[in-house]
Amino acid sequence: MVKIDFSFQSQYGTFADALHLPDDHGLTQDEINAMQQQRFDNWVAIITAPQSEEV
Amino acid sequence: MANRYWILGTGTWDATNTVNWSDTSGGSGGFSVPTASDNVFFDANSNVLATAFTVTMADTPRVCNDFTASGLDGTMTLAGTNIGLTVSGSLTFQATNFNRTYNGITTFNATTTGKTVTTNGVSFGAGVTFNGVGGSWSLGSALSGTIITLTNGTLNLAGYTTTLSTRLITSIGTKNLTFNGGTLICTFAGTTAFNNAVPTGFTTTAGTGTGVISLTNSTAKTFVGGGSTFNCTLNQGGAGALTITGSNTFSNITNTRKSVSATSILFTAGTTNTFTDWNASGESTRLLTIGSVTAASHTLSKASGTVSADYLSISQSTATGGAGWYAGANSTDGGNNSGWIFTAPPAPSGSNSNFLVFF
Repeated sequence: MVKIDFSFQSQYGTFADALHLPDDHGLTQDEINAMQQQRFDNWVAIITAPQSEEV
Repeated sequence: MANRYWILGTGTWDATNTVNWSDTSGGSGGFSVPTASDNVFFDANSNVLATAFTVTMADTPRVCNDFTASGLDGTMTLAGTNIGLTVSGSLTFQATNFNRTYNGITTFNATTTGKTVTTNGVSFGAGVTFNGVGGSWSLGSALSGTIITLTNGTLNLAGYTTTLSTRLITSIGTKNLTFNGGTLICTFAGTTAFNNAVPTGFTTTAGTGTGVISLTNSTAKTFVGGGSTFNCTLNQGGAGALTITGSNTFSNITNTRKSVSATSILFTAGTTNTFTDWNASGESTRLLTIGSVTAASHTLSKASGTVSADYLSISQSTATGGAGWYAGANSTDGGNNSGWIFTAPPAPSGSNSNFLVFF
């Protein structure tokens, strides 16, 4: 297993995460970058759509 | 302790079905349903060819020791309506080919240290509970969900970002929140956006780096401190007023909302909050209001050094403890304050470029 730490700085603060991939994942750097961007986009969606009622 | 491997693709993980469990990857079925001491694996041999499959949990809670989804070559969906999952060891979700739709509570109940929680971008759909006396869990990646209930054990954010749409709440037990540079973000509004409901037995540990708790809702929200010590930075990260209840101790307080809008940090009257550092300021046209929830004073304390703030609008605030509390030249005195100095702090001695050169 390969762990790739990454973080994004934004107006909402720092988003720090890690990708855990199999040793033989075969992904290109562009594909890894896209996965990281997707994680960040998902996080921004959570941050910008806060709950307003009890869950 | 035994290993149990899921086989044959779509099936039901309940209390009796043994068809889908093997003792080896891709082996024959018929082995016992995992107990709390058994490790469960979902891998490339869990499905038929490389097809998508659904594992539907039933008979809540489903239990296991380690939960590992890794090597999946078809999309696995872990389903179950109101079915909880109790993990006594570590948990690893796969970054791809893995969906979670079960919506029960996920409980981590290890009573030993060294466990990890690696969700790999997969959100928990409902609450997550950490409740194991003496247990310790480190995050292996960012975590997102609705509620974390911290009852017993140590949750180590390990430098990653934890984002909760509701809150973190403490419960009866001995519990610790360790940061190691990690951030806890609570996006919820209302009276318990962060709720240290049971401060007895609750501690925090800074670890390496600067930990942050940030409350980001655009409407009013409350940080229920419970009188505890927070070895981290508390951040106002949303437009709505941040109310801090209890007489707490913080490493630092900040206001990142200042780059976007004006906002407020309010304290319960009669409380004393102690800070190692104070870095909460506003900006021009975006003042940070410091005040009390009601028309009586609160106290802010810092033992030494200098507070160098600016663009504050302060009222009902007693600043004390030994530090110089400089509100800044652009701050306004709203009245009923004590200890605040409404100027910029004096320049540090030696800053006027006078120096000697020796040959």
